[in-house]
Amino acid sequence: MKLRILFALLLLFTVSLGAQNLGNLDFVNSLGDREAATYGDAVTFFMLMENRAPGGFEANVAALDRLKITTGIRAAENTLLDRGMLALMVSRYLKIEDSLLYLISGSGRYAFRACAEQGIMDSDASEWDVISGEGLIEVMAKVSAMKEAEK
Amino acid sequence: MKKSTLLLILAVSFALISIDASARIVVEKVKGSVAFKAGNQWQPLTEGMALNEGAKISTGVNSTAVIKMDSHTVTINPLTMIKIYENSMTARTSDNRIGLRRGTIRAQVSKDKRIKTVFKVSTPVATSSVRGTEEIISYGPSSGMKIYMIEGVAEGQSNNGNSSTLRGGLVFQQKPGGAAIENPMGAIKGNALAQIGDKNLSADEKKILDFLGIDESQLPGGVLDRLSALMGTNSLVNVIINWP
Repeated sequence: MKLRILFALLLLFTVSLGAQNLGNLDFVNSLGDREAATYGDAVTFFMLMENRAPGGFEANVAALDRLKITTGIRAAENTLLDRGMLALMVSRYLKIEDSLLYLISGSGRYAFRACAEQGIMDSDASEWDVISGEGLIEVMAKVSAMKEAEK
Repeated sequence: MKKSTLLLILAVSFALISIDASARIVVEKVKGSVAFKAGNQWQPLTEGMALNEGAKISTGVNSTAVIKMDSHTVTINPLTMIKIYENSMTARTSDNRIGLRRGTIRAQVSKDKRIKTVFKVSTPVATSSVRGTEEIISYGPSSGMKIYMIEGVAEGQSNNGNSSTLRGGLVFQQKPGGAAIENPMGAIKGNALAQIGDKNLSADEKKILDFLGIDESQLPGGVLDRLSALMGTNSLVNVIINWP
């Protein structure tokens, strides 16, 4: 009887080990397998970059609005993410202000050019390109490195 | 019965000890969400853990890890995924091969003239072979593979056969689908041209040059003005090029 209880406990321990919370890695690794990223993915990513626990989409957008990262972007959670939309968020997050045209227009087109000048995005691409999951991770890795260098 | 149990415990203990003693991939430092996969499941990576060939490591947002492979150190930056394909060492050889699926790693390869060291990092588009001591390697689906040499020499070889030997500030870049590698001097060309200065700069003037990109030589009456005044006459000009 004791042996059975011990065996059951061991099994429970093994199962719980397998189901450990890997923090934001679950989000990152599942995103890497997706052919197209969404606006909701970018919003979650910026929450994680800010060391904030992501909540629901609306709550996340409200939090990022306060940080002026998503101000004026009115897109649904499942909207496919294009480079222009992401470039707007990145430019505001990193406070890229060296592009005069971006400053004047505040548009995704010039935000994309400003990001390309900084080496964050590939200048050969277009601001209308829908970005893949791996593509979003690549851009956010560069943003993370630049933010770290600022410190 | 008791003897057999004791023998079993001893055998298991011995096996565990021998695994640790032979393991040469050891996790030195972990920050944030970092996991490894040896088999089918991702599990948290912890400091002091020993890994085997075939292990995958993935870092999350704002997360890093440092691993020791024999005497070499690999720093794994945030949002990176690697796989350790090979880690073998004999008295005369050290062979290490890493696959970089995404992100950035910094490799510090220790040099020992008595040991033939192979340290290769492969991505879907190219492979880096470190012959020197320190390099940063990154890969992404848009920018492709980049190798920045910090110290020593490395060779970058793309899957389509193009190769480049790198040292001192040169950068190897092979974009996915690109026919040729990018100009290795592209990254330093702009900076090098901007940094024109008088060779007799004081330490403070050098700091200003590094910070602002200009020095007194570019102000009215500076060395550039003096050079302009000499234009049209036969003059001897010494140019010192400081190669990084």
